[in-house]
Amino acid sequence: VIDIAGDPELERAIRFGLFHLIGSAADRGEAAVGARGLTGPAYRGHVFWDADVFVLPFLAATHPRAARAMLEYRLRRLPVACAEARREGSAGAHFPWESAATGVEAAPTRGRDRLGRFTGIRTGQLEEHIVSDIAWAACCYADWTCDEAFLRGPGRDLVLETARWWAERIELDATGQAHIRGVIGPDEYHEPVDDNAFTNVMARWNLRRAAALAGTCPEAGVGEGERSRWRALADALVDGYDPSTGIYEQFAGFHRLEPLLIADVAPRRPIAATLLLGDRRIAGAQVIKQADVLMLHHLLPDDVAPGSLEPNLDYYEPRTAHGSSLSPGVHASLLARAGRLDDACELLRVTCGIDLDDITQTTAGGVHLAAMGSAWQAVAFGFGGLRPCGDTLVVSPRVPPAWRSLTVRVRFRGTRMRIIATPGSVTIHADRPGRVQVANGEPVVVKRGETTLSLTEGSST
Amino acid sequence: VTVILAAIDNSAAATPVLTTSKAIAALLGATPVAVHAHENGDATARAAADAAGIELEVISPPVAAALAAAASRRDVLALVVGARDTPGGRRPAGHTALELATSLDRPLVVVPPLARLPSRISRILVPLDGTPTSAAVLRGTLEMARRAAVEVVLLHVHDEETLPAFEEQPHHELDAWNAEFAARWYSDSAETARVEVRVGVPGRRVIETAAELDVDLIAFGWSRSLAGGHGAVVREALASSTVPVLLLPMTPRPRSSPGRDLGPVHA
Repeated sequence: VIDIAGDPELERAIRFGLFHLIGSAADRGEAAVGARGLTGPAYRGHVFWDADVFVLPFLAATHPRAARAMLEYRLRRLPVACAEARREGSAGAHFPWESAATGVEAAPTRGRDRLGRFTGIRTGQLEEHIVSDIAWAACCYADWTCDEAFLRGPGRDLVLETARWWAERIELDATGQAHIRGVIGPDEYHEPVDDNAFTNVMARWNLRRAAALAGTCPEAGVGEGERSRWRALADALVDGYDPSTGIYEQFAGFHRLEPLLIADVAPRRPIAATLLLGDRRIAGAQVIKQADVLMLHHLLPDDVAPGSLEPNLDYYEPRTAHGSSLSPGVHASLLARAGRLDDACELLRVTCGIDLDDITQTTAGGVHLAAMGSAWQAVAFGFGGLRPCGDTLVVSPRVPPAWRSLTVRVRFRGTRMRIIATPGSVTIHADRPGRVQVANGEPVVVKRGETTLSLTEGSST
Repeated sequence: VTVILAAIDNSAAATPVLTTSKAIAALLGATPVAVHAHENGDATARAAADAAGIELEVISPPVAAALAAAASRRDVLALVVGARDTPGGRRPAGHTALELATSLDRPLVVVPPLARLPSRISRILVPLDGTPTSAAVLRGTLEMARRAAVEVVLLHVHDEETLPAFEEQPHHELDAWNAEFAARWYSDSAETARVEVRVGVPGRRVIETAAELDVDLIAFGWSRSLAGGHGAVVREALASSTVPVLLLPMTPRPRSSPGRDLGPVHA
């Protein structure tokens, strides 16, 4: 699926991850992809956002039936998620942070930490972005496959019911601004927080996508009144963006915390910063566990302010401990997109070594599937610059000088493509015609067979 | 018959050494025997031994060499010595204790002068630094504990350099780490043990955890070197522990009595 000419060691490490990703989900029925897949007992097989956001994109782009099976797992638990919402006095679907067989919240509320202390565990109550993560996964699958039957059928329900839940969850203040208060974002070092940018922007996207989808699906029975309300709430949601700096505030009050750069307080990265600095120091400091604001640039590049990737990378990356195995791969992807290829390669190697080097000393409990998925995303989305955009596959590669070429195989809207990127050109082998846009060039329809496009102009040669 | 040797002098340290020797002997089904190097008479030492109901052997100085020779007898399972005459001091233990700790190829129990002394050892803390050296101690200790119905608590302390890279969902992470730790270091043993993890300066955290968990003994796998930066954790334990410290040297030795020694301490 991936060839890296010029770095066989990295190529082998990535393929090791892909082997496990491919083996993690069957291509029929329902596929519950736990944090460690089927490779070990750690994390008790529980299904987190790891599955929806980190593993599924790879399968959506390469093994769509397996991705569909992953979504089927969520779909079969949609009634339970709706029941949970009703239990809360809400509408729509509230999916659990940790999901298992029944679909009810499987996260404990109390446990021991590494310091031997019993502590409260609030992820199950507060890490609500899982709701829109699942909607995002459904749309990711639809964007890659153009599976209209899914998006207008069962997939539609995932998108609409999650939006319906957000519409109840969001609070309007006296000025008409909308807020989501008391959540945990991807940066689990700070909890609870108000107006977490990731949670809010994902919810905003969820509402808008649902409104648009419902508008094209009259059979869904979502009236214009409800769609208007979704759009209005989305428009009113604060996101912490400051146009003067180009930076999103991770949550309300983040900028007032003690400024800390990881390099000033830690001997290395990645590092579990809470263990180094203690919960109290971390809670009051600008030290974050993993991509949070930057996760928006990764998942929703069209829903963040144009040109905001670089300033947010510059601001947040030095504050990130990478204390989650999900973090280095996402940063590698974003750094590649920003043209910082050496830094991107370094974090990609960290990601690929998580299990091969057993740096957590827990690989025997199962491999870190989400990290493996993030490695593929770093290569395909970051270095390869692949991105579905309607009926067009955008290809904006950034190939490091040490790589002679990067080859990524995907299936976009039913067309199998082998995309070979070099520093100056993109060659696409397609098994049937498909629409492609190289870099900032005009979209072109590549024919069956081989087409080479100039990277500077996107023109066919 | 196997023996736990209690090295006593004429100081107040004799009593905790004798008490500890009896507890260790009870643990191993051995007989405690007191030994005293005759330097300034033996009246006080003999009185202490008599009060404890333990036979006293008198040997000739130099003290450390004589004790080492006595401990090398095949019937001796371990030697118990006092850390020092009085609390405090610049060095982690007195010169006799340190000389024995760095030279003896037998298990050595060092008893702090103010040690809290249980009449019975019911819980042992085994700090493991994640190396084969320290882990080698574990299997024997677990086997001994199983026979004596003693609880073993394994402790690993992460310092700044060994802090985990990732801590995803801490409740799951700790379970996974503990399971792997057990699999690496004692999966071939039929025994199970409680694993505790702490973060901080290892020596200090070992002492704090020993107090927190109310253990009766701390057992270390021991390289027998305090030179340079070696043995920092043991050094801290000898200086600060309030319970006896068992040092299991990483040198093979002949088995004196199958199934009754303090464990296979092969590195």
